[in-house]
Amino acid sequence: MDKNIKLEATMDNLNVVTGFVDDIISEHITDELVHDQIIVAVEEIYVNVAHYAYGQLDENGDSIPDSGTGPIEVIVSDENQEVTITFIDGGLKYNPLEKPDPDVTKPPSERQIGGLGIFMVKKTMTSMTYKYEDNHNVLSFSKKY
Amino acid sequence: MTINKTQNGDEVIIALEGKLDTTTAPNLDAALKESFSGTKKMVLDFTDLKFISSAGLRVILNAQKVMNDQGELVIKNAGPQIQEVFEITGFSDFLKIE
Repeated sequence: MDKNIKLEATMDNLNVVTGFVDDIISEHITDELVHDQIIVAVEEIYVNVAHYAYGQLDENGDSIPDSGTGPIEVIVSDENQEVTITFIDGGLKYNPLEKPDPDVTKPPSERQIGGLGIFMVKKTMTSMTYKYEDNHNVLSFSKKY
Repeated sequence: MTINKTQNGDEVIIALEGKLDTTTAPNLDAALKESFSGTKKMVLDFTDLKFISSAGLRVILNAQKVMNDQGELVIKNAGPQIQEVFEITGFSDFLKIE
């Protein structure tokens, strides 16, 4: 059965969301690595929404971090040895899966800040999907365990 | 997250306990910035660190850049999730991990 939480997508609520997911997944997932991968994935997705989804736009049309806030819904399902977590926000339309992967072969001096979070989610979760529906971003990832 | 710092001459050992995430990464960043001056070897001891997110990676990347110019950075006792993140992101290519 799905469980959900709706709240304001602020940084202060990050621990509320990770705690909510932690309580649900800890019932079945005993593998510590899988558990930690999921909690980190939740943080990466949630933090992106909190920073950018409801931001004002700069002159280039990019969201200004932390310049606005709005609601987010997080839905967790845990069935058939697979956890699926869905994030729904009504902010700026944004598909993180369209973003090119960062070049992970570069030395430290040439590394850009950013882009690693989504990349880590893509690499550690079993699957990830995005759709824009009824003026909402709907981003999901699943992890088999 | 708890940060324990031990200074031995120009070597500093920084041991972390807890989670290095968006919430705690700024604390580590501040602790490292206080420790760079005069340090030739910086050791980050992750024995009691449970996991790391991309916010923590950014702090480690910055530490690597600073220590490249003045000495070395060493990561010790990284757990499975942390090792995996270093591999995925290519950080294991330039970090000294013991």
